[in-house]
Amino acid sequence: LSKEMHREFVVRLVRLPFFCIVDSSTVTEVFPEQRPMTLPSPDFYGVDTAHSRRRWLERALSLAAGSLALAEMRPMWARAEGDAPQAGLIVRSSRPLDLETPRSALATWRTPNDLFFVRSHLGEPAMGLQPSTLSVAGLAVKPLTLSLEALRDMKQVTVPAVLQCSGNGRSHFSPTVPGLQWECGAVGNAEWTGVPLADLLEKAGMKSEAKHVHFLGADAPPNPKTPQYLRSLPIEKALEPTTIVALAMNGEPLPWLHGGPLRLVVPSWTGNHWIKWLRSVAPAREEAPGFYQQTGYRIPRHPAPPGAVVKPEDLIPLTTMNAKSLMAWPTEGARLPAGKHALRGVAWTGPGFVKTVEVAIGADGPWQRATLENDERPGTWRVWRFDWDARTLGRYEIRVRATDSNGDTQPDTTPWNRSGYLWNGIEKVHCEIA
Amino acid sequence: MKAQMKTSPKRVLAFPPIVASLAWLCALSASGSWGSAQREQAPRPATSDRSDDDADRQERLALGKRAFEENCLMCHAAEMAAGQRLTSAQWTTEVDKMIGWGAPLPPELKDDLLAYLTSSFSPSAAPAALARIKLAQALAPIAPEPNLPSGDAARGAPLYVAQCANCHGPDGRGAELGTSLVEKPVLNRPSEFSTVIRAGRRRMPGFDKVLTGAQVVDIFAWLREQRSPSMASLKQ
Repeated sequence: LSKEMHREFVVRLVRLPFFCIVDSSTVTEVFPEQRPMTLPSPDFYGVDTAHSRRRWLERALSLAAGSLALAEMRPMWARAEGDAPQAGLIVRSSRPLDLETPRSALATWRTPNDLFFVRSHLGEPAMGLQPSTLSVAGLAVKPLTLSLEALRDMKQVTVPAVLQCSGNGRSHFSPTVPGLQWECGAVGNAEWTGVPLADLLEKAGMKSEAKHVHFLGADAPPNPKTPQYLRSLPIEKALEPTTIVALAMNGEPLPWLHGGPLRLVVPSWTGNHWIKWLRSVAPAREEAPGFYQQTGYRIPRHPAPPGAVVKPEDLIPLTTMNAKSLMAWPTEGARLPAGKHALRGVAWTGPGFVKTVEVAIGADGPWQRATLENDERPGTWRVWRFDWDARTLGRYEIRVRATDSNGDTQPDTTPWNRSGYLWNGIEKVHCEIA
Repeated sequence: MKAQMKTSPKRVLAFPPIVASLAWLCALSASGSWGSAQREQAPRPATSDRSDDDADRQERLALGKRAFEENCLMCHAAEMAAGQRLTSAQWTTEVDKMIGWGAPLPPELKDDLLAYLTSSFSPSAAPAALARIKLAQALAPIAPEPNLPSGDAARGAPLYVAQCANCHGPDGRGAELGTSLVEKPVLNRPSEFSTVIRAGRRRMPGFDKVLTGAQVVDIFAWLREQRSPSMASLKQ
């Protein structure tokens, strides 16, 4: 071991309080609000690539071999490599772009924009070929076309809300189902700022016969035979004060990959309603026609056995989310020292709010209440925390479940459906106290 | 693999007459860039020998993989298939759905494609390795290039009709063989646009012998003026 390498290692270790956590009393430092698990700034290394960080970690690990104290830190390092937000989003599909948030980035109330999952149906439209506008037509007395500036001049509201892909957790269904095999991170919570849809509809003078509102974004299909991503909301949901046309996400102009400059925000309802690159709004008598409203995003009215083919008339539109929780830490396969550990994650639901989160340690362990942070507020999520005093060495199965204000709780397994929607089965995470 | 290298003139001629010059068409067939042109049309002889069966299967899978690359990757990244674990029946449903949505898969390659998908991405296959990406990196492939050329859309219109419309549709919104070009991010990326036109991509031939640089710029200008269907134009 050269003197120089040794000094470099010691200096870096000093700068890495995060790696020194062997006691959970400091676990919150791992998850400071909005900046989960921050590695030292790239400036410190004079480099800025995940690759060189990884190389450094590998080197540090090899240096640590033989040292009991450092060996205890290995699990944390391994986790940082496998699940760290620094590595960015998980690529489910690079075209169209579908990116999943790593579990460890889901420990905070607000999910940062650059770690928020991305879901695209038809691919991004080109930016800026024409000024972005929003038209309100259909059953409108005074059809409107509004510029971004005109929208910014209207009354703005900020709505914290969970955006979740209806297929989040699809990979857990058995037998397997087609579609993006999201594990748990097609979900995030952000503060969305924009114009209430009701204000826009009022401005355009919606005719009384309108019972639905249709929406179309700028993401056009690749082929005339491919359906447009045309969707609709029933009028009651469209007029709710928290249903907005968002121009900003977490205080920043809405990023292009998240549907900017304009995206529909439909709190408590699944992400397929949150139209990206929104361009047109049209009140109408009926639901939107076409595949994405009439065939896609439908679930069986009554649970059907796995593999069953359900008749179209027995399918109903997917609307609201269901009670769900996830464990951001520890992650699957973690090895932890004996002692106190702060288990942490988030929980959310559809209409209503999360009332309780419970944790069970060990496959037969009793359900115990976790501490819930944040307000009892519909649409958004709550951070939960559970202090675990792990005294006995061994392997543990840890489960977490949420119960909402309607009394709905997570099942062990979600009823199978052929598209893999609405998975909310209780998670089981395995870790070892060693 | 042997069959893959062969080019059957019969199959090339079976293609829609999308090219202007016969000489160019011959150059194309020689370069072997047509996916469906790769396969013999004659039925395979029945084989009793096991190694023949294996060779036949390998050939089938290679053709299926090529059919995947040439007919699915025009819209999807390969992760779309690699990330899923489906039964033969499920892959069939998915492929049929995509054919219905305009995937230009030649019917005679469907079985090969299904054999490839089913054997590679079945429920018993190992989990896919997953890449990681920063959001800013994900934006890079669609980010506008700094400089836009000043083409003439009016001059570009007839050039588009003559050279592109057969595959990409008269309005640029896609047709039997080509995807929609309207309002696509490549219209902010003149260098990428020009490279694809010159060199070709997947089933699209290169046009370097057909179009001058200035003509490519004019087509680019015309495409930038086209718009996706509005809500009002959709059947309500």
